[in-house]
Amino acid sequence: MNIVIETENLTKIFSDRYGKVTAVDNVNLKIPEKTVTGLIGHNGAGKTTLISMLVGLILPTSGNGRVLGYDIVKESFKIREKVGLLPEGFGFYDHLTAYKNLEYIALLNHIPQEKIKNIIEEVLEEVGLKKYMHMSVKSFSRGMKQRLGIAQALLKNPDILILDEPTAGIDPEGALGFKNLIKKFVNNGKTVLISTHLLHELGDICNYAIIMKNGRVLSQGYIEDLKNRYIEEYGHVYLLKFREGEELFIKGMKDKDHIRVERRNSYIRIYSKKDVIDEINEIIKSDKILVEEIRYIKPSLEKLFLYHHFGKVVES
Amino acid sequence: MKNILIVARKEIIDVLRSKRFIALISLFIIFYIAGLSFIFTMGSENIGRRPIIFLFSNLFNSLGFIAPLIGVVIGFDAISGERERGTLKILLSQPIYRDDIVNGKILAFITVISLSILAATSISMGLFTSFINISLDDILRILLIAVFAILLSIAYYSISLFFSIHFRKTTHSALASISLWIGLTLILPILANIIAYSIVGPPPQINPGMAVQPKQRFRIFREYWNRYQAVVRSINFFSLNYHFNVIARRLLSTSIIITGRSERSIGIIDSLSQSSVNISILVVVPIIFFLLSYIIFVRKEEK
Repeated sequence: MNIVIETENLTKIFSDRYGKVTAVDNVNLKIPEKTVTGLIGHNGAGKTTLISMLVGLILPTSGNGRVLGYDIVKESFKIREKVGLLPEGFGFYDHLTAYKNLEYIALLNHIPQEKIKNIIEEVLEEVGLKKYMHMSVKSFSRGMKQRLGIAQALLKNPDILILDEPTAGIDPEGALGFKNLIKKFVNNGKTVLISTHLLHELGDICNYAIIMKNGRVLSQGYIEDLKNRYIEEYGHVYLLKFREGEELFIKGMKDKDHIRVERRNSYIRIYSKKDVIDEINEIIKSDKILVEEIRYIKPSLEKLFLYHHFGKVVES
Repeated sequence: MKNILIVARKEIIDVLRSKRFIALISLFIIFYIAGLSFIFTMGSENIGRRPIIFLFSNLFNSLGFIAPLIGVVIGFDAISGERERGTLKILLSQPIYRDDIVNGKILAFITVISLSILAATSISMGLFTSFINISLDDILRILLIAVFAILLSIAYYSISLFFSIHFRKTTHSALASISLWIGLTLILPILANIIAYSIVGPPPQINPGMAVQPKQRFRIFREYWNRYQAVVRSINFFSLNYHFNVIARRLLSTSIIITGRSERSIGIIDSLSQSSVNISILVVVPIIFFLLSYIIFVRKEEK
């Protein structure tokens, strides 16, 4: 497993006349290649500052980091050659067409003149804007501008794609297209880092997560591992649908330690520590309760985030 | 270097297409045409022996007013505009050094303003050679003034560029740049006279009954005027326009009267060496502000 992004005690403190704010606080990251990493946190968690440091837009106060083996302070130029970035709050030259905007970016990336036209058409096709390429960006909707932003990040055929809040302003159809684009990119052996607080939109395409709060990394790792850690620490969630004996079952469960039972619609939800399934099965068996269905639920990325963010299980 | 040229190329196209630039150039052309018409309505006896110099001394007055304005209007949103549009983030996330962006913008401005002023001057001279004889010395003097007008415009551009980097908002940068232009171009000369008057006082009163020789009267007034002008000059020293006007005036004054009768011709080199301080200021000011712009822009963090 190759690590493509890593940081060591990376810290950024912003100072002004009103005081100091630690935006990123001793962050230690390791992002493996060929992953779709979700950088998750509320607004003000330090995600954008962290991304800005990774590509050399701002300098760290202390600590260090490497992207694709290049030092984020001394070799940020090299990083920007190989990393496509969609920054937060980006914009385009409204008076120029989509094609002209991308041509300017392509020239700055030293893409050979004879290849520029084909590459621009290709990336615009990928983001679904090819038919609008000779239209002025002024007439683009927010979603179209967002897609054009992704297109500019893809122009240089980067090894890593870093997207800061990429689905802001994109409609559901656009979000689906975006997910497919990311999947295709990762299938080509590339790595994606997505900063977001909209977990319901991107949770299902991420396989690695970094959860941030107040400039600190609360947790990081493959999402499956994080879920397993969550389950180990907090427990399993079972959904049981009864045909008979629901009341009896609840009565039997109520006095048990580490088990919480909730009734929701036609299901009983049981929160329990691990290895309690045998005990549940024992009660079901001994009381001759007829259970129609038992389902085991893994926590969602959203639930994981809330768990780490608040330090306890919170219903999303 | 390649990135500087890429940025400059894009900026040149943007500037040439911008409504602001077109409006200012149109205004400049109107001034030129008005100046030409004014000359043609005057009789040759009012113009003097060197009509081309007379003509351009009028045209350069308007140029001294508009060239700085072009610098201000193009410069005030050079960086802050990119920042507000969000295009600066896109630019900085590409493999480009920050100074390439600033250099590209400066190169674009110098190209555009040089071409505009030199073209306008050359075309005007071309038009006039059809009607009036023009010597090589005159051509050189006029072209030199055009070069100093370009320097004046670049100086104002450098200050506006500095503001556009320092201030995060374009409105703040615009306000600072335009205030500076109004202050140095319009207010300072008036202020200089008010201050000079309050320091030196009113002109000396000589009653008709007083027995004062005409020579003595002339000396009294000359002393007063010299003191008055010294104050005005020291205040105007802070205005870039003043330095341009001094250079232009000296280049256009081709002869000096000595002892009231004989005339001595002043060569271009003499005119330039007399204005060396003024020339230095027009050169040093943009250098200082460009350096400050580089330093601030390279150190400024774009979150």
